[in-house]
Amino acid sequence: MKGRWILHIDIDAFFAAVEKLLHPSLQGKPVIVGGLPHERGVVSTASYEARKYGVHSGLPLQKAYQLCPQGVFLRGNYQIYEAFSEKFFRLLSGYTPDTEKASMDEAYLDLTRCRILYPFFSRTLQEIHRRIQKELGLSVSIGAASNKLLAKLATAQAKPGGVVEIEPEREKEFLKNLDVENLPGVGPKAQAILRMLNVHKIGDLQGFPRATLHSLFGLNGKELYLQARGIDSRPVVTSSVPRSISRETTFLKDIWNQRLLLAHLAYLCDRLVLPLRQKGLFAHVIEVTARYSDFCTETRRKTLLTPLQERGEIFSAAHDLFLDLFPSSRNSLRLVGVKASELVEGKPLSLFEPYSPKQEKLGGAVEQVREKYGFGSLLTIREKMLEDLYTLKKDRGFVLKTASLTK
Amino acid sequence: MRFSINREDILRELQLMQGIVEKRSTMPILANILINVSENQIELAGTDLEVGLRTYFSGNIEETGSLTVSGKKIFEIVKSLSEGQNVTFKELEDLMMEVTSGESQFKVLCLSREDYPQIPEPKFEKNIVLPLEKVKKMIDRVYYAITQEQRYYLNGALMILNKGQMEMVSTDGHRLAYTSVPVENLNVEEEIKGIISKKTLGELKKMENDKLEYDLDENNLFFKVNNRTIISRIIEGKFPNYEAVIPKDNPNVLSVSREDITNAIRRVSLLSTERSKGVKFYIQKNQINLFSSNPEIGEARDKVEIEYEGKDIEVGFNSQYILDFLSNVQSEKIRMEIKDENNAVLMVPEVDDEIKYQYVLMPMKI
Repeated sequence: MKGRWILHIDIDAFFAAVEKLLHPSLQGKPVIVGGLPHERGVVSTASYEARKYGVHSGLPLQKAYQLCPQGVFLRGNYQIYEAFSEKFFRLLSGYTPDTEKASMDEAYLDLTRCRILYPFFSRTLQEIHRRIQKELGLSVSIGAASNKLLAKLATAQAKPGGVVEIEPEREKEFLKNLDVENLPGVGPKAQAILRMLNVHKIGDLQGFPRATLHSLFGLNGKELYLQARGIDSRPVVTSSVPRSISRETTFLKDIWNQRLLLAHLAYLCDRLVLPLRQKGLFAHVIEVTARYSDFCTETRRKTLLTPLQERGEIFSAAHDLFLDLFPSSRNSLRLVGVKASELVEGKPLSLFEPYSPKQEKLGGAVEQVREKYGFGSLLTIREKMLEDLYTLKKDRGFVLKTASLTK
Repeated sequence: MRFSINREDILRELQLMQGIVEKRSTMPILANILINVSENQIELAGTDLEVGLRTYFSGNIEETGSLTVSGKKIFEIVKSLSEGQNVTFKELEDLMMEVTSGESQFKVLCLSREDYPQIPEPKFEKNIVLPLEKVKKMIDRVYYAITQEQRYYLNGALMILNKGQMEMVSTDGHRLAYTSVPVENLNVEEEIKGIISKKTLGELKKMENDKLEYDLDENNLFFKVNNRTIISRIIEGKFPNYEAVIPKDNPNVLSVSREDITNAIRRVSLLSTERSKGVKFYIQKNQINLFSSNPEIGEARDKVEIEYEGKDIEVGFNSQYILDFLSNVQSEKIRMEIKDENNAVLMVPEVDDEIKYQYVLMPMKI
């Protein structure tokens, strides 16, 4: 194969598959992860058995229950999924260092640099497929092509559990007969416009000049022009500074008690600091989100001259922002979240406060204790309040509501 | 009110007013300027309540009076007229002003003069005269380290006058710029200190003359250049103890060509991250290796020869902060005095010009 060798690997119905692995009795049953049928929230993952009933991720749980009352509804366990995800990426990075984490269960691999190691490309694909099945017990779908766009489109064809390889000479043919909505640039809005123009297949779209697409869809149109031709020069990004890191949680029941809300916020800040420390990042902007029981959502943000990484400082900023939000509340809250953005890798030291490694050392010590004895082994008094609401697992901290699959 | 004047004579004054009047429309009258015509002179005044400007000039006065009118509009009108033409300003009834020149005629709405805020009146009794050209050079060297933030006392530069000496300091909490210059015939009985806002400093930079008269009262600083007076509200608050943070005896001293280090930092910082602009310095015997990386773009390295005998040091800096200093220095070589990667670094030109210049910079954890 000439050009680049890009693989896109996606775990099939990830959360549901892990649950089946842990509870073999669930095999063959429609498993729906995200919450219990009477709870609020949405479906995170539905097993293929459940998808037959029209259940898909993003669907409200109560709706999912109407469609599939016999489904097995689970709240799910984010930390276990994370552990599986880590194993998945560790296995993949054994093939090439050029591995991109697109999400928890989705990876891009660029084998171009290592192609000398894999003279039989198709065989390597089968081997990766087999090894993940054997070592993790999970089924994956693999797409291989000369760029990320085509590889991902190939994976969609391979699902579930298959391997689809698109040789360069087959690219045109492959694209031509795919439905336009397969392209990432075609959302529901663009789809409606294209329908009106009688464009259904990517092949139909290929006839449109660039200028026409531009006038129809703006900048997105230029992107579409390239996508329709299977052109995508985006590199596989191995490590990148994330744009932002956020943590949020929906409560089991709406909460009005301010102290309890702050306890949640403190815990989320604590969880937020972990990836910041691990990646050596400091945040210039802290943002707090509150969603009221009527689903109205408000955010407040603060830009800091000196970027923050330390737990206490981040919580203090989030605390002020939250108090700024909450007095205006007419309602109890159903969700709080905290987000760190404008991330930088360096922290300028201050002239007028002498450098003291105390906070840094404290943060480091907390991290070490947690690494050895588990996240839940060390909590602040404020965070301890949450013990009345959630199960505390020594190794993983509080079992909050399942987070979504997206990063 | 009625007067006429050569376009050029009033255009320059109106232009200066543009920097003063409020651009956001929080208080509409602050977007206006005051035109005050007395028997023997014409006065223009503008203010945003923090910084004000008064300017006096003569013209062909036919009738006294005063009014306020949009500073921006009147400037645009006068600017649009042909060069060298005479312009007549005339107050009409019902708060209108007429501007005529040649065949052109404008009628502009005014606001009542009574609503215009009082601009404090300076006396200039202390008889303090400063060399404006030197003051402007000092402003250049402290201007970039002034910040805009909640610690409002950092939103300006501190000016200190002593017998025979003038100093100016600014800091944003991560770096500090200090300048001082001897001033002949500066007779102040006791130290005079005041924080001058960034806006005022910017306006002072536009002034031209060799003398700057200075005065202050409880709330305001006054600067007079020729016919123009800048009135600047004193920024309250205690300026940080800058003397304490200027390192006195950092043991590791290196000397480097200003041009070499400037160019190398410019190159390497191309690949530093947008926001932090961090560049790592690996300082060893007679050389600095520079390194920066940005996971989304790549990395850059460079090497500069220096004169250095101290210990090996690995230290990160915000490259922009260093470039700010370097671009304000004339000296061929500069000196860096370093303690370690956690403490303030002193940067100075190896040869001072007429103005002493010290720059203190905190490292950055990269």
